[in-house]
Amino acid sequence: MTAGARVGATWGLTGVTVRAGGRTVLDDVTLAVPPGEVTAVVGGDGAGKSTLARLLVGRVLPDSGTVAAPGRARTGYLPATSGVWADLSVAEHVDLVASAARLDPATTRTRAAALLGAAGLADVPDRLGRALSGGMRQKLGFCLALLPAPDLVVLDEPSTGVDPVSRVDLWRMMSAAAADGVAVLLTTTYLDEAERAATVLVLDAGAEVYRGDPAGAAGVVRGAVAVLDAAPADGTPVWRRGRTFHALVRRAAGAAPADLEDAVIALALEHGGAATRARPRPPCRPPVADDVPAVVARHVVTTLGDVRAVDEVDLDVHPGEVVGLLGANGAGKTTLIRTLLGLLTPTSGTVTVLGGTPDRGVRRQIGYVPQGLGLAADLTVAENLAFVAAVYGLPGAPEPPPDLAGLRDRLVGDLGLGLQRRLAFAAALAHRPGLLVLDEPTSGVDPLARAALWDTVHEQAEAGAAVLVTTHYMQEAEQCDRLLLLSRGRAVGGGTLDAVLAGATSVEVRAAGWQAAFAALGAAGLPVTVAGRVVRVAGVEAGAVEGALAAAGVAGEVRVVPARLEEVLVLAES
Amino acid sequence: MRAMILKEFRELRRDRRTVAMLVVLPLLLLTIFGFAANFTVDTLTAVAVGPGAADATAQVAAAPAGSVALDVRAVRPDADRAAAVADLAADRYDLALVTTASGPPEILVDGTNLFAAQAADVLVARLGDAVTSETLFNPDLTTAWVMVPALIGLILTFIGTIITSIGLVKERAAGTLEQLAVMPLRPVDVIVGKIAPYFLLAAADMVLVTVLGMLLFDVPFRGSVALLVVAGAVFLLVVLGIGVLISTVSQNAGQAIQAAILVLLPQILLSGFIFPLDAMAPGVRWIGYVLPLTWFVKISQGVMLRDAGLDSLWLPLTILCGMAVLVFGAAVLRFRASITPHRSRAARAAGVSR
Repeated sequence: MTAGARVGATWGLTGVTVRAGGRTVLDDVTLAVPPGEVTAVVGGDGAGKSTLARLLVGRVLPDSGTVAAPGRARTGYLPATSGVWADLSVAEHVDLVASAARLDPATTRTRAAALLGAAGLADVPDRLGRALSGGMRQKLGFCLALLPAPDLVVLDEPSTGVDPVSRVDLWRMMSAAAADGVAVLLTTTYLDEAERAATVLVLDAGAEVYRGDPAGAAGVVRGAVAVLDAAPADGTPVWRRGRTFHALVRRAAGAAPADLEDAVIALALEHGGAATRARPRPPCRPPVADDVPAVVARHVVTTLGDVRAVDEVDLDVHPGEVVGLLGANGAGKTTLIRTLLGLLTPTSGTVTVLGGTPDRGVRRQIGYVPQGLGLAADLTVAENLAFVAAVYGLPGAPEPPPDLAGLRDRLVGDLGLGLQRRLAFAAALAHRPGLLVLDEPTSGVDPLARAALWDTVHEQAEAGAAVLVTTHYMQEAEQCDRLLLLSRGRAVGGGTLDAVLAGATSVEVRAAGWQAAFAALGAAGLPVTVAGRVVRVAGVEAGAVEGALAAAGVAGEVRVVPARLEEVLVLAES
Repeated sequence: MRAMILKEFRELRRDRRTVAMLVVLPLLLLTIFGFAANFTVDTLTAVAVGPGAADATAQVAAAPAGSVALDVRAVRPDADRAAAVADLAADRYDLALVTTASGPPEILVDGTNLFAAQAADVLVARLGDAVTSETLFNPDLTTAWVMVPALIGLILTFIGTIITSIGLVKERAAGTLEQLAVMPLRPVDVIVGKIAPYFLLAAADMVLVTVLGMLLFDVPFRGSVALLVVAGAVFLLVVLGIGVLISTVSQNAGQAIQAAILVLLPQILLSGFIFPLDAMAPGVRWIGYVLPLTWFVKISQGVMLRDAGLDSLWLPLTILCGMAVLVFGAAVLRFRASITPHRSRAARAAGVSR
């Protein structure tokens, strides 16, 4: 990345409305995407994020309002599907994009070398798209979007399904592009990611909930948030964060929201979100009398081919407990879950689930929600539940949760992802399982829907079910009572979220011009990323950062701060 | 188990393509094999030429009627043997009755319509010494000679329809079509760039099959190479167009293959290269007439085996050109629409009413 900061106009949308299929997808949305900054659009499935991204790249035209974009030749785009061809090699991708954009060979070579080098793809020019991991594919897609040196780059959910290590790489690349003067827009479903952008637009069902500095969201909440140990008996809107209840109360009765997630949930509730999202009351299982662990795994080794995908892992999950499995892609989370479910036989070690070896009989008492949800898209809500009831031999089909009651006869494939997840939960809970296994239970849904899903999980735990979830997101990890950190099949840490984060530090740099600090630290070979307008370096001494800044003649305030979860995961991998 | 069965039926019911396969395929096969699968030709069309044409016609008609009826469509006393050969080359009749000033009448049989030629042999045998006979174009009635020109068309259809539609649908399913749409490429770049490779591959296959057929089976190539090349190119546009159309209505490779089978099967069975068109019931024959392969087979067999020229093949060629314009045009428009920005239907309606 050699080009200096380009002086450019601010791109974006002004008063844009888009309607499709009788529905308003975007409702009078305005967003500025200035050059040299990362702007984030956050919202759940169906919030209108992709439509907004496609407006900027000219794939969708607004029904009203105006779109300011630099045009096709000056815009880079990373679609949600990563836009990488399965049967083309990395080098062939570069050729394709370079010739479509009519780049001269010399420019192509220098830019491709710089971009692919930053993405860690420089050494695999002949690898085919299909042989790349999800994270590498997204990074390649990002390199391709930046190859023609665009003024605006639009990234649609670049980090969905991407492991934390690649996610940090992606953020570093995005930060570098912004430092270079490119206007960067990304969409995401995760607030901890949006929090790192300079400007965030929170969308709910196509309408703006909040727009501005992520740190300013708390200031526009009309009410306040009270942190309680038990749910209030009155109808106060409430959501869970781990074992505590957060309630939206009058200004005088609580404090300002502590983070973006609380602020966004509060804002969504104040926008009338509660009325449309009554919380489900799934059937509750009678509490288990004795404290026999639901899962006991000892020295479990599961070999796939000649890879020890799970290597000497111990795990206990007690009734009433929510345990999170944390780790990058390939850390062994899915293999461990499949071993616990009895779908894979451990090579050595012992697995006891609900008092027995996991076979078909034991699996009848397990509720499992896979990442793909396992619903039949061509069946209605009621038919899906009837199928589950028939398979588990229940006397009657369970009633759908309240917010799905009016949609009994709708095809599941036509529902939004949030509602599909709710239905998958209801289906998994219908037979009152003693053990609940959830694979990335809330990816892709908006904060309010995520809060409602976690309410369900905690209710199950309180009723005596043992819950095991996999995740690599902060917001999911903090909902767990205990975490097990996996890396390359081995358990490398564990305990509460605080225990996992304890001791891990990151160095934060606040400088007048963050771009200069970012460039200086990047040039010094440090693993640097940006959160908002603050530069962060994980896993190094403050002295090294100060030294690199001083060497480059950049002034900045350096301090040591607690590491973020994905930084801890990256450190665990290295 | 009951739950699984019930679930599967419920899902199947909503998968319209599979239901269509389950309903349409049996009906299609029943229709084809019930009405079209008929190797027996019971009527032979003929032309009589030469001074004794009228007499010879009467003589043949007076012979004891067997299972084969002779339908003499034209009696031309002023024409000669060469004219009769030209008529057969143009595929106007199944056989010709040639009379001269002296000697017995001669029956000329077109050997490229295999089943008609076999029926004609029966007729000649019945007439005994009263006539002489010669089988033209394919004297040994070799099946391969008739099949190879038709196979060229079938292979082009296969590549054009199945391979092209899968190639396009893969792009849609992987989401990379979206990427192409926003790259600085014009829609025409994307369309031509996407289709040209298949066009070239199919053309190369066409040359390969033709040459191999000639080397391995001694299939003759008697007519104009240029005419076959032109007809092949036009036909290729039609089948590529069908492939593109299939891709625009399919979300994944499975759906594309389902649709392609429904398009391919009738072409294989009803285009006249397996079952003779003349022996089909009229309704089914008309299905054959709307299929592009029918017309390409007429051209490829005519050019390669009978040295037929544009004067007799203009009709099939014109029909193929018309199909190419319609099908390929519709395909390009639909594909173009999928890669250019679109406005919602509501907005378009509002724009019209304003």
